Amino acid sequence: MTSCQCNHGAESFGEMGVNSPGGGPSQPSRRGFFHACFAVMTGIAGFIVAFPIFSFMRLPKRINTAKSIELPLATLSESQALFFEREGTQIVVIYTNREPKAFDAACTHLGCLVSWDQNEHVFRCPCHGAVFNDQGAAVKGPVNMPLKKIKFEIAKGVLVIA
Amino acid sequence: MNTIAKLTKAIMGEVDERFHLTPVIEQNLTRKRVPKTLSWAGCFGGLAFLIFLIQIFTGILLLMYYKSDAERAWDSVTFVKSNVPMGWLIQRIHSVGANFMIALVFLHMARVAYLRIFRKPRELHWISGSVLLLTTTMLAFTGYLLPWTQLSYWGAKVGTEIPSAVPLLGQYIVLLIRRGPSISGETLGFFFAMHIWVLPGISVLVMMLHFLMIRRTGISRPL
Repeated sequence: MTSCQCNHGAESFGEMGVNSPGGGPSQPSRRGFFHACFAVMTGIAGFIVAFPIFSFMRLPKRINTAKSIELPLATLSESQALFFEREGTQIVVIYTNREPKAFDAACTHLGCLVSWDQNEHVFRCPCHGAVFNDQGAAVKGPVNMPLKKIKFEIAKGVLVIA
Repeated sequence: MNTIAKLTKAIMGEVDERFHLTPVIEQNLTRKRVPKTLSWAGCFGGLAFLIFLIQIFTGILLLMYYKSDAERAWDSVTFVKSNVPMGWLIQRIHSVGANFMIALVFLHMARVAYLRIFRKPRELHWISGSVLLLTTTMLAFTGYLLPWTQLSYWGAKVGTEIPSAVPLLGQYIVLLIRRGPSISGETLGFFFAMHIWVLPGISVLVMMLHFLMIRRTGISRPL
């Protein structure tokens, strides 16, 4: 633009159509034609620049690397909790009353990660004091939704979260 | 088109009433007077600046994914090239743009030298331009290490060996710029900081001086 001597910028808010030979703005003029060409080419150039930039801002492709979690039951011990991460979700597996249970460790209030209190058999949320029992049900605090259960299967003594 | 022109006129009218901006734009941009003898070769410096702007823009985009960590640098660049939409294009523009920028800086300097534009009163233009040549090559050199490939590793190895030729202080300078006895994660961090903040910052400051001086002395006319 700077080195171009045809003054597009100045004309665009100057006297549009006043100098056209026909006198009326409806008459197609050479200047109008060049203005239209300029606008179209600017649009194309703008698209060529904008398209990759907006594409870049989209989410990147991620290869699904989520593996199933396999946990031999022998590794679980009474009252202990084990945490796993899978696809950005924290999963907690506990073993109480000879029964394994798996939950999404995000508190159902505002999503903080709960911790396991092995003495009292409850989950405690560090943020706003929510308490959940070993069945995942809310017992105290600013929440009444239970912890989200995670499905699992037990095959040949191995706990599998698909 | 006509509505856009009307809208522009309405907005510019309001702005002009307060800031008298149109005369400034006309004087400096749209109706700026340049010597009739000025050829297209006079664009090299401006084009180098345009590429500098493109480099800053694509650099910011790449920075969203780049990790200046020896363990993850290569993976992050590969991730941009293969997984981010149009990432290959942005990465390629940034790496090829560096070559173009150096080429244009050299063409610009060759023209200025050949036409003897550096003579009085434009000596400082040449000196500030030389500083810009230095920052441009340093930007290219530091950026070359960042993808952490074999090529960049050995390129940095050879490049940082050069100051060892300096008498007495040589070995010490090499240690300083490598941040240790060999090219390592510390070198990468140092080069990254230089590439992202220090060198672009110095470049922008010197460019402002360079451009202001040109505005002050005007465009050179032939002998």
